[in-house]
Amino acid sequence: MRAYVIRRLLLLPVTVMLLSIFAFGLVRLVPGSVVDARLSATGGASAGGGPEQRAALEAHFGLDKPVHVQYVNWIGQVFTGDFGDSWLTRESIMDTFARRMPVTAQLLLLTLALYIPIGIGTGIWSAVRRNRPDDYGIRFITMLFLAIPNFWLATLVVLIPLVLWRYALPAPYEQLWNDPGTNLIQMIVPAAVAALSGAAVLGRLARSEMLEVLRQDYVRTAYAKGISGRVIILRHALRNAMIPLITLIGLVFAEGVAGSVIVEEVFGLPGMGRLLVDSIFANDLPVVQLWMLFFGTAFVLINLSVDLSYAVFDPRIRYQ
Amino acid sequence: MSAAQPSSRQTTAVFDEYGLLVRPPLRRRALRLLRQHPLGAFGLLIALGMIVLAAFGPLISGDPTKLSVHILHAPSSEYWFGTDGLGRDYFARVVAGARLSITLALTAMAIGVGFALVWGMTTAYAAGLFDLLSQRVLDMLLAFPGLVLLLLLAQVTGRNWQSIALGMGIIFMMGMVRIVRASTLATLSAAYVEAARTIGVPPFRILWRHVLPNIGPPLLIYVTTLLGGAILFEGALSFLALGVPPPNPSWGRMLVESRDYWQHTHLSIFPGLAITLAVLGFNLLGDSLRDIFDPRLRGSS
Repeated sequence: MRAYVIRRLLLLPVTVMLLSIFAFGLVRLVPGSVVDARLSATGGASAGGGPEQRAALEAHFGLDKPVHVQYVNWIGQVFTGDFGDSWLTRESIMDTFARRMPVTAQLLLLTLALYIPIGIGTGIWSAVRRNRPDDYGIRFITMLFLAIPNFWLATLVVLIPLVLWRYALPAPYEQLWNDPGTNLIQMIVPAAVAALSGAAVLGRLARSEMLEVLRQDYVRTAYAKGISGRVIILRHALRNAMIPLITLIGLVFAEGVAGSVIVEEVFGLPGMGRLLVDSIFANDLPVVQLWMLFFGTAFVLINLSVDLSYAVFDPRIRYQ
Repeated sequence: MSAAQPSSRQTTAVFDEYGLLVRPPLRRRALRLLRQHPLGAFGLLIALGMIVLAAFGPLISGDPTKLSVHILHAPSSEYWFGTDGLGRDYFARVVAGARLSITLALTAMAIGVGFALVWGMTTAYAAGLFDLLSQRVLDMLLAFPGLVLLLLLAQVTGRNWQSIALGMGIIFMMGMVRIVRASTLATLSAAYVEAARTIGVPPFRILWRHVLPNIGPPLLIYVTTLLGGAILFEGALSFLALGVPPPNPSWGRMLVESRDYWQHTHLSIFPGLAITLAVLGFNLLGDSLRDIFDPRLRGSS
């Protein structure tokens, strides 16, 4: 166990380094550079002074150096806490993240607060009531929500109140500390959309985990001893079904971030998901690069703690 | 689906003169499977229907790009799904959207399966440092949500459908490599593979003759459920205006464009219904395939 923890912790820097190379490399492969964009914006290329202006701009963005030097420079800057500036807005990326992170964090928290109870609750309900009408009902709704795309659900949620009652959500976006009432209305609807789409995935997995546990010998023994069904499900089965569900936390988080990209776009929330789409659109490479490093590290850390806690919670698992 | 199980017990087994079980002809076996899995049969019907629409749709429903003066008509007997802001027949456009979605999904899957087979079998067979490194690379990539990776890959490879199919294929490959690797490792430790190695069968032949047939079923199940995912990905990408550019009709882009005409609800309803139906079909089919190939998991989802 201790050897396993140490090995995983030693591999962590390797994974993060691979991640940074991946983020840097992928972003370098994007065709078209900021220099072209700036030159065409100022009319420099056609104005004749092309080569000098181009060289000056390339030097300004550090693009005149070989790729590996650029990479080392970037990593060095990140380590010293200098995350660089956006090419588009020329704002410090750190400031942009600091402004946008709370929006996405609030959205994610609200989403997870709805998504985890709905997903796990329906999954376990459906497993316990297997092959009864309520199980079929839950499975039918789950199948439906797996197929309904979250961007369509979001579109309908905007559209239906608009058509029926001429009601639209308040806009523009208000911060929580400025106007909590407006902010909560603006946030709870997108969070519910993201949560409903994700809960179907979670519910399905929770159901199959619970069914697996209900098949175990100790559950049969408990029934044989004459313990009431409710006690067995709450005390024996549910507790054991929660352990494999821990492994889903990483998936839940990743799903939440992917969902936030869509709902932030539809509901016009200025969060991190929308920042990614806008930056990809504008070829704003430093922002995309840092976004990937930031969320990538978060995903890797979450998955690592999930794996480690799994080893603690389930002593049957022996890691070599 | 376990409600259908008792009927499978009633089928009378036929034995030949040596007392061996005779398998009924393929057609009867297929019919029995369809009867036992009505939801899977429904899924298969939708999936085949979508593929037929993708292949011949525009021949049936007419030109999806033809403009007319009938702008924003509600659904009628002339225009089944109404018309859009440029007077184009919305039914023809929804049908033509199937072509993009299905072509992308199938191409991406072919690319993903090809790469995954090569990578997965190689890494399982090679083992050692190469395996360790490729596992770490996969862990890192799989930590990202697929949609985020796809947004980035599509930006690198370009915005035509071939590039997007390549990007999707690479993303689907990552999950498949794990399945291929696990099945390969399981098969490589089997006694008959050891026997084959002992008598000097070359690695490539072992992989081809012994490993590949064992990977088939788990991969097939995974691929079918991923097809639904591919349709959702294409929709999301087009919805974010990072998909295949116009004039090719795409369900995701039709949805995003419909937001400008919110009074005309038919524009937002039909493309969404089309995506939902297609994804539902592939998911139902995939679930039934899993029940058929992996009876241990029967009824577990």
